[in-house]
Amino acid sequence: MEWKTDSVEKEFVQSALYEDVLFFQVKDLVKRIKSLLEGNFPAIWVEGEVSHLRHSQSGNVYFNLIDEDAVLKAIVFSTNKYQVTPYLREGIRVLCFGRLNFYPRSGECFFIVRRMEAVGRGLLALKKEALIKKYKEFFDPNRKKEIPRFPKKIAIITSLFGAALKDFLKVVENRWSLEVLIYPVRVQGEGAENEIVEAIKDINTKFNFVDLILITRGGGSTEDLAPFYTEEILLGIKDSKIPVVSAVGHEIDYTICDLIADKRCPTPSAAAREIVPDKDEWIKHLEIYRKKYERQIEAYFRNFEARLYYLKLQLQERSPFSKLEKIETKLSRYFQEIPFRMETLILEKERRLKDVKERFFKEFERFFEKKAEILSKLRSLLNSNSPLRILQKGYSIVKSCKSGKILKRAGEAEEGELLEVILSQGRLVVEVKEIKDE
Amino acid sequence: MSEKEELGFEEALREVEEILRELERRDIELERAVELYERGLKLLNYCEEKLKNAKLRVQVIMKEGQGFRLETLEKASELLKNGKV
Repeated sequence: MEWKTDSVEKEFVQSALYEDVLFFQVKDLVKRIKSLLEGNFPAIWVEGEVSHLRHSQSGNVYFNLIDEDAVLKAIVFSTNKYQVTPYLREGIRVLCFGRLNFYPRSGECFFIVRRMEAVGRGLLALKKEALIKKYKEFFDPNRKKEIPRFPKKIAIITSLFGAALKDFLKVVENRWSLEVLIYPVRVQGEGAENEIVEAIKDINTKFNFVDLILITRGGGSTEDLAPFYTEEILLGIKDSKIPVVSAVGHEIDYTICDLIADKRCPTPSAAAREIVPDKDEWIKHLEIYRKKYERQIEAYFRNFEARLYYLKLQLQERSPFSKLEKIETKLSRYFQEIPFRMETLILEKERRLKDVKERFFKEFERFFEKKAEILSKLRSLLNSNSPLRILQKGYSIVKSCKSGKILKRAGEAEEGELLEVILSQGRLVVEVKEIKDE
Repeated sequence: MSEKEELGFEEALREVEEILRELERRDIELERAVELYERGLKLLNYCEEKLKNAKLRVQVIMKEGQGFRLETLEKASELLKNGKV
């Protein structure tokens, strides 16, 4: 490296002129630095962003306060820790109170912090965190009121002259049948939160016919948005009986107002689109409904037709005419069958009669045969006992011709009477000449 | 229809949906189905009419002593211009 001798020499001369000594011993210079630093900055406020935060075992807290390209090393001693650490977060912008301290042994300068306040966005973030912690139950999603799907009347709490109102009205125009009540308030600056809270109360008491309340403003600086990070806003919205929609601030950063509201929209225009239905879209929806109706009624009639057809079939089946028809068919079948059946029946009876007849004759014949046999037996018996057989032995029978009586004694005959004498062969008619009855 | 005049879009739409659900059931009487269909179509036309006539009405709530009055946006802007609220 080439030294610019001239300028170095000039500086030497200056230093020689400035100080009584030609050169410093390190410890002397460091002592000077220390007294200069500590003497000039015994109590100062410094604003910067917290980075490289680390807690040592001794209880001290070390961090860097940074600001663009500048870095200041800082320490919080354990004795001061509890006043300071609630605000100590990496990346947060803080305002620190303390003094500068130079350490000769390390040659480093430290800012000894005794008090600390969050500022700007950091402050808001901390306030937000603290409020969320304090009123945790109010942020429960189950507490959120339902936003009406088709609002008829809405109240807007906003500035009458802000871009937010213009943006909102621009979207809402020609979108829906809507009555908008604007409650003008300041949306930034000291006390704006009180105006907003009063507006919420007034609307809840005097204009409670509105379907919802929209609190809105466009994006702005951290200071501008400060009213929307307040406890007042939180409690005011929490107490509203009417659903509250918040469209405040930035797309990515949620304010307390956004978080406690029943619905949050990123911008005023987005709020208009999300809470106010679009009539063109709904006209399309209605067309879909109409088509569904057509389909349903068609399907209904088709179904009805099918039912009717089924009933018709059932009716036909159960009709008395069809029953009669069945009976008729049966009858006609009988008519066809009867002659045939009768014939068969007669033939059958005939056959059976013939059988019986045959059997009867046979029986009859046999009966006579039997009788004839008995008769012949009897005849032969009779023959063997016949008086004619006695006649053959020479005896004869005498009968009175007059009375036909067989005479057993002579005294039964009369003289001159004609008698018939039956012999074994032939008869004699004799006249009684004499009677000898002895 | 005076009864319809009272009906809001949401109520009408709800009825449209209810009717549709009832029509989906196949066990209703024929007369009822026709009646429902006609009523549904009437409601749909009514809703459409309502949408086509949709208008935006804007008013500003102005504090007046203990009470309030409503003003048009132009008038309110004029009145508040200097106060810049």
